[in-house]
Amino acid sequence: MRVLLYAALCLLAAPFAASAHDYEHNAIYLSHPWIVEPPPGAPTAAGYLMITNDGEDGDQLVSVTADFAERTEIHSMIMTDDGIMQMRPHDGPLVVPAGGDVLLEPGGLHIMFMGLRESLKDGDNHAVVLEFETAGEVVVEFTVQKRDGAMDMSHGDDS
Amino acid sequence: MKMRFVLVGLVAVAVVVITAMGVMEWQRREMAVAVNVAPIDLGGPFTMTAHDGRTVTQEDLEGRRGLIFFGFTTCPEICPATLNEVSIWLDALGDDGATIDPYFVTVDPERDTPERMAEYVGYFSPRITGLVGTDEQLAEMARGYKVYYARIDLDDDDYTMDHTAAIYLMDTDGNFYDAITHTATREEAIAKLRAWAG
Repeated sequence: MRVLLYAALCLLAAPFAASAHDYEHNAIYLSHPWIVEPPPGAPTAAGYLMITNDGEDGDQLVSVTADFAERTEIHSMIMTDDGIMQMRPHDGPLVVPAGGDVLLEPGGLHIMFMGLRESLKDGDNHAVVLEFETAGEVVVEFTVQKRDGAMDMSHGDDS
Repeated sequence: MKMRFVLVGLVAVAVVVITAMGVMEWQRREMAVAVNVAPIDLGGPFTMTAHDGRTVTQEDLEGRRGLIFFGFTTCPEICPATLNEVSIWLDALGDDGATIDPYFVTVDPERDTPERMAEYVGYFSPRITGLVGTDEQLAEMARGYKVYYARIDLDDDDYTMDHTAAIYLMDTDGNFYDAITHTATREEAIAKLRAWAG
């Protein structure tokens, strides 16, 4: 009986555990790496995570690569005052200041996976290689998740 | 005899109630007209191809409530987020939203074929119709709806599209009713749609 109860608890907890995995690599701490499940037929997908730098010195994310995408870039989404959506590659390397963090989240900065080579489905995990100038290379499993039903569009005003 | 009196009484009450409702409705419309002193000239004729191949024109909007959004399927951020919101609004509205027809118009006809649009919009809601046009057809519709779009080249022959991200609400008479912008919260959007279509 106790075993069954434990199994049930594990099953209940599994989705949360999968979406809340973190990585620590040298002074860089990476939390909640995830990709929004792209609609079928969409050739691109957006990935998000929080990058924290616990080190004494600033670091920067110099490249992101993934086997499932032909190209990967950091993009920012900008909403102009007259309501025009613009997406642009992030200008230069992504700097993570010493003792600071950078948040990639819906409506703002995101990792843009372009030319998807395979379909990304809710619950899948996919390896992504992040290369930092100082901390070096770290392989992170991004979890594919459906878009958060609780998110509203007003989150899209930061750039 | 007594029964007849009751019937006449009921009919009289019904007439009074219906008349009062009519007057209230008339007053409501008068007020709406008074508020809308300068109606925004937005919309107009268009001819596009739906994701299922049928032709959709301005006439298809008449008698229905059009919810119109421009975007493209290669967009990973605002477009899927918006279509996701639209599907949540429709679910929340239930029967109140029965007269609303959402349309997703691609500003990227070079890459967005009707087949690709069918897969894409179907993922969010069977209620959403994807619209594709030739460059000229798109330009005509965008002009009417005062929508800006522009191709921005990226590296490796890739490109993205800048585009107006507002959602336009087109009334049953084909005229512009209101817009929902990205600053609206889900609750505000649902309340606006319910006040309009409910």
